[in-house]
Amino acid sequence: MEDRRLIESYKRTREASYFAPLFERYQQRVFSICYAMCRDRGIAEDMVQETFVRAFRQIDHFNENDGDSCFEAWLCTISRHLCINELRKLSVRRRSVPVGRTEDPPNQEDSLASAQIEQALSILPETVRRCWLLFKLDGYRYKEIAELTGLAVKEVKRSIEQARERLRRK
Amino acid sequence: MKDRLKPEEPEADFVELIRRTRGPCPEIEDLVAFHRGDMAPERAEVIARHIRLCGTCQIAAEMLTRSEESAGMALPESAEAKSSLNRMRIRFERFLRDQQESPVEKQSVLEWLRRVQPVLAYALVVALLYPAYLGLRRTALPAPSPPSPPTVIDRALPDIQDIQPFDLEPVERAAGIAPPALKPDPRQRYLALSFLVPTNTGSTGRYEITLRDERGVQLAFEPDARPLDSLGRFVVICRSELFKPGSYLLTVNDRIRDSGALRRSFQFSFKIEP
Repeated sequence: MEDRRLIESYKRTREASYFAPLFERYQQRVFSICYAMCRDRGIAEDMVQETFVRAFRQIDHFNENDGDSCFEAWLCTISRHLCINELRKLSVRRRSVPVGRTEDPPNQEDSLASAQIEQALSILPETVRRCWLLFKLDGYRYKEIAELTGLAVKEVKRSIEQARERLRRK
Repeated sequence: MKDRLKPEEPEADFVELIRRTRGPCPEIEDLVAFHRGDMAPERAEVIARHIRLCGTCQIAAEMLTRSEESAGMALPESAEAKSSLNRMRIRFERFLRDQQESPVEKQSVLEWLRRVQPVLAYALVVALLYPAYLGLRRTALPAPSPPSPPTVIDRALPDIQDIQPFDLEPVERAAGIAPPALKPDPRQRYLALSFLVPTNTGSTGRYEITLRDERGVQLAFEPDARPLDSLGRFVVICRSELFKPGSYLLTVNDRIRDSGALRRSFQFSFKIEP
C-alpha cells in the first residue's frame, strides 16, 4: 500500500498496524542519515526511534494529500533536526547562549569586530581553530571534541594549546 | 585528563568579544536553508559569519553534508547493521503496541483527565461545562434577566480534585439492571459524566447531547458535542449542586450535520442519591 493510503488509513482508524509498514519502509533510510550525522550507532538508533515516535505523534501535521509533500522527506527533515538538536544540547547546556534568529542586520561596529576577530583567527589552521572554538566558546570537553571532530583526545588537547599559544603571541 | 586550561585575561576578553559578535546560533531551518543555498545573500552572510566563529555550527554544517551524502547509499550488509535494524524494529513495535493498548477504555474519567495536559484539560472542562451549565440555568432555574456569563468561566478552572467521575452505561446494556446510582461527594463540586458512543469517522455527523430529569425537563443541551478520542468517549462536566436526587436520562443523538436527520440514538440513565 502506498504511503498516502497508509497515512490516510492510520489517521482515520488510529490503528497502529497502518503505521508499522511506514517504519519498515523508511527505517534504513532514516538510520543512514542519523548514523552519517552522529557517527555513533547507539545515538543513531535513539534518533531513529525518536524520529518515528515524533512522526507518529505529529502525523496530523503532515498533509498526505498535498502533492508536494513526501513522507520520506518529512521523516528525513525530522531526523536531521533531531540530530543537530542533540549536538546543540551539550553546547547550549554549558554556555547558555540562546539559539535563535538574529533579525538585526550586523551594525558597523559588529562588522569591524568580526573582521578583526576573523583576521586574528586566520593564523590558526582550520582544525586547531575549530577545536579552540568548541572548547573555549561552546564549552565542550576534550573527549566530546574528539568524538565530534574524529580526532584523538591528545590531538584535541594539543590543538587547543597550540591555538592559545599562537593567539597570545599575536 | 583535566579539561581545563589556566585562564588568561586577554584570552577571556577575546572569547567574550567573539561571543558577543557572532550572536546566537541560527535556527536549524536557517542552517539547512543556508546549506542548500536557499537564502537571501544578506542573511546568508550573517549565517556564514556566525558559522566561521562557531564550532558547533561548523559541526552541524558538516553533519548536514554527511546526511546528504548518505542519500541513496544502502546500509552495509554487516551483522552490526542488521542487529541495529532489528533492535530498532523491536523497540518501535513495542512503542506502537503500547500506544494501541493504551487502556483508555478502561480508565475512569479522572484517570484520563490526569493524563491529559493541563491546558487541554482546561479547554475541555470549559468547553463542556459551558453548555451544560447554560442548559441547567436556562431550564432548571428561573432567569428573570438575561443570563450573566457563567461564573465558572471567569473564575479559575476547577481543580481536578473537585471533579467527581461517573461512568454511564447505555440503557440497552443495562436492561433489567437498576440504573447506576451516584451520591455526589460534597467535597467535589463538579460531576464528570463519561460515556462511550460508537462514532462515525466521517465528519458528516454531529452528536447532540440532552440531559433530562425524571419529569422530562431538559436540564442541559449540547447540539454539537465532540468525542475526546477515536473510541468515541464523551465527557460532560456539570456542577454537582445543580443535580437534585432523582433519575436522569442522558440522550446522545447522532444526526446528519446538514439535514439534521437522526441516524442513531443512545440513552444512558443514572440516579442521583441524596
